[in-house]
Amino acid sequence: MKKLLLLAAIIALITISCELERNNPLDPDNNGDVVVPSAVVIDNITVSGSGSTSKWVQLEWSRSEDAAFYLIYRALEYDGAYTNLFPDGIPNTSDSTTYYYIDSAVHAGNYYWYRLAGRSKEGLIGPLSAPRGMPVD
Amino acid sequence: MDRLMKRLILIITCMFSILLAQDFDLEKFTDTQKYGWEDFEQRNLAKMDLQERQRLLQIYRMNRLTTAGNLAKSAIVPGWGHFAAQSYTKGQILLGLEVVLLGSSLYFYDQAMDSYDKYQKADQIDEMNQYYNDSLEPYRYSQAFLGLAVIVWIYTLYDTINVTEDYNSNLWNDIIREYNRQNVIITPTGISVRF
Repeated sequence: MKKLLLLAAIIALITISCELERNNPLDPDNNGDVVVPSAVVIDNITVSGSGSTSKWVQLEWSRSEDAAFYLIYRALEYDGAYTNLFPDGIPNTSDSTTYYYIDSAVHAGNYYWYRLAGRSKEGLIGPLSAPRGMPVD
Repeated sequence: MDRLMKRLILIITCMFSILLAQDFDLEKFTDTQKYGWEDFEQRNLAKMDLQERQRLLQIYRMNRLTTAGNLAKSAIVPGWGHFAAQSYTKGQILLGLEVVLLGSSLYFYDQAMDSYDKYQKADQIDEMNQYYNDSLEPYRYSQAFLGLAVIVWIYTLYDTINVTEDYNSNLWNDIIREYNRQNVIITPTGISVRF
């Protein structure tokens, strides 16, 4: 009986020493077919002039080879909650080496912060770019 | 031929019976003092003493704890077997330890699963790695506490065997002590009266 208990103890300790499994289907550590899109960097950011009646912010970035889509995030604070402006993403189909996006849904008096990321065709979003912001006057 | 064979077997059987009968000690067989009984009265007292001991054994069997039954109790609720065997302090300590260890394990497991669920739903590489790493530490704590709880549980089962054996041993001694405390008891040598 005592040997049986010792055996049960060993089995129990082996069982509970298991690690958590990386089972997210988008996790490249779990699924070797998933490509991690490289970081997309905002090369340039410009805003409409203060005298202009229509307000806009323009973002410019270089084309990424391994991203199927681009995602643009916006927030009103540097470390605030960033909202994805295009949940479905902007398709990376153009042959151009530079991409532009004009955000016209902005209001004077606010400071807008943007971040960019690439998304693979499997749906994995790559690293977010460092935030870049501009005040809209 | 067949009849001759039967007669031969009968003669051999008779010879063996005579030889065996010579070894049988009839005097010893009819010795009434073989068990130390001097007369019929003593034989009767010895019989009553035997019946009394059988009654005590029956009481013991009714009140004793089976090791398997007590192990089952301790396996379901650690400490229950100790309580049943009247080992209250040990039972309380082991039950308390199990509650604290399992509670801690559950608490850290819940924290780990909270992060792990977020990891499973994450579709952004940094968040995915962050949530997975966040889930690892509480999960390890949870495992460690669970491991300790398993060790305590197994020790509880092991100790249940010991306390059950002690309980049964003490039970028999108590029955004998209680029996001896009675003023009038019947012994093979007569009736004993204590004052």
